[in-house]
Amino acid sequence: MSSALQEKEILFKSTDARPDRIASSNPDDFLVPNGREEEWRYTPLKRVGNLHNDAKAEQDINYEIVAAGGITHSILSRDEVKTKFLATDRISSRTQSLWNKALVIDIPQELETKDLTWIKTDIKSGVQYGHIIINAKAHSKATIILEHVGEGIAGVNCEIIADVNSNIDFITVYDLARKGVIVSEHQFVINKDANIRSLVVQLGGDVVRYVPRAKFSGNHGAVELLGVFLATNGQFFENRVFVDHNMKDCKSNVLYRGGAQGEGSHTVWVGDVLIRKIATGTNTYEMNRNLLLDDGARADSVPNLEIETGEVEKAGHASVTGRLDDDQLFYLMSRGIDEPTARQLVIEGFFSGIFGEFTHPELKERLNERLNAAIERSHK
Amino acid sequence: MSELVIKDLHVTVETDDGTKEILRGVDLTITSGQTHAIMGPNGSGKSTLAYAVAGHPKYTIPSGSVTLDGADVLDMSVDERAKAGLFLAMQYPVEIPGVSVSNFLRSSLTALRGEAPKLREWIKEMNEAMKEIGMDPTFSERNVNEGFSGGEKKRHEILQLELMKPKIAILDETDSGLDVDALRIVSEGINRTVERNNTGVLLITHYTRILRYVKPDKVSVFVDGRVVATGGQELAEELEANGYVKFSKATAGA
Repeated sequence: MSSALQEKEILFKSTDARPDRIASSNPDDFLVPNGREEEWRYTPLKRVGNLHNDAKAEQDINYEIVAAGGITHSILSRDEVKTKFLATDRISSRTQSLWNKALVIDIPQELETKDLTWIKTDIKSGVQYGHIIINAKAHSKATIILEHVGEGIAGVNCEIIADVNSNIDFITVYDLARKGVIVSEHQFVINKDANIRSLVVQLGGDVVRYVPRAKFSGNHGAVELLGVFLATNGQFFENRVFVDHNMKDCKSNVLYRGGAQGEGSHTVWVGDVLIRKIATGTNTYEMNRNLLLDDGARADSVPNLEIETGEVEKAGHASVTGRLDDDQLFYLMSRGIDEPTARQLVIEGFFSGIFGEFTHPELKERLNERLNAAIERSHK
Repeated sequence: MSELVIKDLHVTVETDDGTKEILRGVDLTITSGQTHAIMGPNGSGKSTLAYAVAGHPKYTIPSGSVTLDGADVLDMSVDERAKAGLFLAMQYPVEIPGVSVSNFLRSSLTALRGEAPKLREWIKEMNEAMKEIGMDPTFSERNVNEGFSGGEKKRHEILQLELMKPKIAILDETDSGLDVDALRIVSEGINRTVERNNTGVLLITHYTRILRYVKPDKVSVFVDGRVVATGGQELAEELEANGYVKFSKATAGA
């Protein structure tokens, strides 16, 4: 059982279909998974470098930061950091108990900046754990990019805390080398009238498992969780989204677009939205669309919506998985465009809407370059 | 001077009930600068002819030949056919989400001409062509065929025809779903293409209405997967008066 300093909360009560889903800071609250558990059923545990069992840190994680003017950052040890982070699975909880240095970013009250803040973590060979805290104070506005590269194995969690009326764009890019492994839980806490717009981009790595979890600390908050992933050459990318509507009149929008190409390539998207009894006036929508680019690839998509109050404004969910459309390719090719270019155009078009949401030109350009390179890799 | 020659073309498709033969020996020749109207009832195989010649993967060609100036069209991939000078205006143009009209047209012309058009000249060329077909310049920023009305889709097809300047164009029911104003604009586009680029046109239609605006040099009647009669404009007039009944009977008895 947890010690006095540790906390535990129940997110989902058990049903016939599944046990209690809990959040805790104590790894012993989570058994070592064997792959049959609901939350691990898709993850290739043999490929996660024992992060789920007993992998020890071989080094500290390396953070590089280029911050926009006015935004401060520091690297702190465990006893210097106050965190309310509660993990929802075994790897996240081990990460939480094993990191040595955390990166803390503070966006001061009323600071508004259009400049980008880039955080880069180079996951070196071996095992490492990290923790990042982003504190956006009241009425602030900023764009933060967290980019993971490298070929090692890492557990890296992140807390994004948006205070009253703040406005945060937060982009996470997973572009590791082919053998890189990373497992992350990101917790978004949205206060009154605050707005977090988050985008995750998964392109590189052997295994990427990403668990974003959003909850509200005031009424009238809004969160957007957007995602783009493209698994090729046997890559495994997993997204497990949880939006906890625990306050009144809040809004959430979850849109993920994914693609998979090549033998053994596998993507997973599980979207859980819970509207608690207290959360009247909720407006939520979640949607996952996947494009299977050939017969060897697989996409799993599971939307779940649990509503405990009758007074919601809007609640919807959808999931569509399909193949590249022969008629679209034929149309383009009948205009002289060769097949690889036609595929590239259709796939780029499929993903284009999501980047369109982010208007910062430099960022959009860089993300598009990365994605287009990944699409090009996919048909070579 | 170009010539598309279709000889004894047989085409089949796979259905739930097995292989079905749709074209049963089509013979046709389309020549530069000439307009050849193909008229026939629904289900006669007119669209199949168009798609099979353009190379849609759904269709199998067990026998027959299609050549463009002597080159074997059936041996070419879909994009090679376009590069060789063939164009198909589709009855139901496909929506391509996330791909803008301007990106699409530029990619196409880059492929057809072997080099990217210079940006400044390209924008001028596209805007002029759009103006002629009565499309607002803002169309270039919209996604290909997405949210287009029926008339807008057909104008977009003719816009492509005018920009791509093919040797031979197959127009599959370009007139269907158009009101009379749109029909006139689209027809003018077809006439311009024949006149300016000396394009040979295979005009597939169900109705004689378009033939008031686009004057065919030849008219063929297409029934049950083949050409059953060929003549001049007077054949279209006869069809308008009497319909396809006579020709359907002719095949049934044959």
